[in-house]
Amino acid sequence: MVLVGNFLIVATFVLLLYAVAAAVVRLRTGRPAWTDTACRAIYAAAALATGAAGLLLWALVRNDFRLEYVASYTSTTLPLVYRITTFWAGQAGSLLLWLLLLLLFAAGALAGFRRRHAAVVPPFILITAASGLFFNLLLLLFTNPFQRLDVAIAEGRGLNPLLQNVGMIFHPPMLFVSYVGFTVPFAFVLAALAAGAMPPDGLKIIRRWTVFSWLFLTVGIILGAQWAYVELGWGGYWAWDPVENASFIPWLAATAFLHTSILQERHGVLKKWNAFLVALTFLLCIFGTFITRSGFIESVHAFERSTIGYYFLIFMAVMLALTGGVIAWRRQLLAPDRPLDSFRSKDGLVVLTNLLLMGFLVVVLAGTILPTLSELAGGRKIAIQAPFFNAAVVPFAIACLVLLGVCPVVGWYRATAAAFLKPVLVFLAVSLAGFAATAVWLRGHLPAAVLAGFGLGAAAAIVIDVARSAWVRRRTTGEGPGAALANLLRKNTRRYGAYLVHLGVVVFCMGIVGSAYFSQSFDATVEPGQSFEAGPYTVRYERFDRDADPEKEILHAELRALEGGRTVATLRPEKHFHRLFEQPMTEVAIHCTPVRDLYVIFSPLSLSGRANFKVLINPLVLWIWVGGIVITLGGLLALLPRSRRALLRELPAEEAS
Amino acid sequence: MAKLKLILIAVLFVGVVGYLIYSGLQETTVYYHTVDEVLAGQAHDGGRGVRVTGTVVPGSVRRAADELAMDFQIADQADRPALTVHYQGVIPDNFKEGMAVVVEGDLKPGRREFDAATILLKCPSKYEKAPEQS
Repeated sequence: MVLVGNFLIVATFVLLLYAVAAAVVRLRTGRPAWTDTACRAIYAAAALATGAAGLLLWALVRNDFRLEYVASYTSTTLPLVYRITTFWAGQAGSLLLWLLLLLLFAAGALAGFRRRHAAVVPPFILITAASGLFFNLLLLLFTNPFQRLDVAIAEGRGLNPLLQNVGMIFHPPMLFVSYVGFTVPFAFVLAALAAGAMPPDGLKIIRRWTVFSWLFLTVGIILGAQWAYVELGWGGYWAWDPVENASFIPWLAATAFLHTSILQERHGVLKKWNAFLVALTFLLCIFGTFITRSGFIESVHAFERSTIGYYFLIFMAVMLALTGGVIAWRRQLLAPDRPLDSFRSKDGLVVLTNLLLMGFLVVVLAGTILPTLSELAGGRKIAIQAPFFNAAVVPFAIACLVLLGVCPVVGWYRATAAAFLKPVLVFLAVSLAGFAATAVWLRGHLPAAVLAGFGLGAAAAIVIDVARSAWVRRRTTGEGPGAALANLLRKNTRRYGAYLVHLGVVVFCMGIVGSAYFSQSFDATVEPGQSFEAGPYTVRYERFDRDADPEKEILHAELRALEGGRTVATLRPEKHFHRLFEQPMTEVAIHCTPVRDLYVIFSPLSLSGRANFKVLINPLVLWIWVGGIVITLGGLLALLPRSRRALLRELPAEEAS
Repeated sequence: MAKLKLILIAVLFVGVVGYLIYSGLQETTVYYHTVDEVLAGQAHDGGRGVRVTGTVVPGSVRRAADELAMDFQIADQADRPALTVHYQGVIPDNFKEGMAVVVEGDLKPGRREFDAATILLKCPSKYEKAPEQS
């Protein structure tokens, strides 16, 4: 097992070296046969890496404690599904996963475009294989998943119970997929520039890979937030911790690209800016990995501290130099086809969206790295925490909601002042009405009311635009209302996918407004049988129990929440004491409704049942998760492959819309 | 003309973002103090409470058996003088002796004692176990 695993890792490394060499020879000599052999080397390396990953998975599933990695993260009592997830619980496994995904994506992308864009293939292989070599080298030199354990042991150290949660099954691999996925558009842009010409459908390839990776990143971030909410037991879902920011910063860059790439596609403008954004997204992913794995920035989430993070810094520096070099070398390829359009059209608004996203990116990045920079510069130790980000996010959120509402109502081409103003005024009127209603209902709370008002306006603008288009279609084709709507969405999946994403963002924002501004906290120390008040609820502490299973000892509490004398929920929070882990675990109980979550944290004080309860009332948290689902559906809709007929119709149809 | 517009936008962008970061930092930055600084009387309460970092001195933790309260000492290093911390509230799951913590709260005037409202843990082992100490 140890031998085969190590052989596979080394063989992958050799193949990647060969791929790099073959690509270099191809570029030097121009003989096409070298492209084919380089391609085959990538395919073979992908197959070998799959073999290595399969072997590690098998060892984890079978609890083969001869491997140090297996012994460090699983145990015989760990359920099967979590034995599988330990694949990415540690450094070595997660780097192997990174390498595997990188090679699979590179092979997949190559299989897709190598016939059509032969010129792009050699530099593309050069960049992806070199990145692969970097990860492969880390596996060989620093953290080998197939390291033999010298002493025989009967039981592993087990997986941290915090990671034994459904969210943790999907959250890390989704982030990995997105981080690695961003490598493909990055490599493609640089390769196309190096080859001397961006192929006509090159932007489409770059966009699809970016949408794919962006979707995984979005879902990954939201799942991470969900995990924090149900598992970490502090009542929140996002703390602006450096590790969280590390995933959010590239998200902002990728989102910016998704917007300006539309302008490049339609008018051939902003090419340099888009190339920059694609590279920035990729580099920020690597930077995020660096800050989370090096201990460079202090975080409550810090991974095992190791010097490995600094190799990511070197990797990033090399890639940054490469990007700068290629863009400077080929800048004439990136000249715009024509000047930017007026700000009174969607073009201007899209540029504005970009400025906003970039501004937000700079603020979050600054807040994340300034404390460390201040310390490095010999300054005082400072902490920049949630209040800084929470204050900064409000103006950006308001501006984003305004743009979400204005964009659907503004045409693609420069409009006369009147034609531009009328729909914008309608949007503002709806928003103002929403603001006034919310402000009266909440008796103040202006920032929340402003956000709610513009959110309502934006949602209305999107819904009205879709409804109007469906109505027009119904009139011209004579279809029923349902069929008209379905066909409309099917005809332009990208456009309506984006609308759905925007609608999801509005719902998501409302969830954040509710829970960020209106959360309430109550605290009580009680004996079983006693009651206490928490906002609109009376909470009765009914019962206390002890229990044990092979992994842990469990303390249970049972509470009944009453509202106006009626029972609305029975809550069963727990406290776990795992045998293999020193620290106890808090299992919160959540009663989730569309209006508010009732969130209970249980801290037992004695075995007689005396306990402290922290009860949080978090309004609209469900909206965050629902918004996340809507965003996901929108992203999937945009990614749907189009039928041949739709593709043929595409150009004239898009010009007309 | 187009160039001028671009420069104008860039200046405006840098100005707005810079202002947001600057004003945000003014209002929300919290400074850390070391135990030595506190004991030397150099810690000043900026109106937002004091925040002290240190390592929990092994053997110093006294928990009231049935109460939500505990006393412990923190120090910069094993051989440095220690500061006594009083804390009332739910004890975090991963609190243990010998670990680095940040306590936030009020300094009792003239005394070497600290009333902590919150304890933040600088714990390197959320996802991975800390490397075995030899």
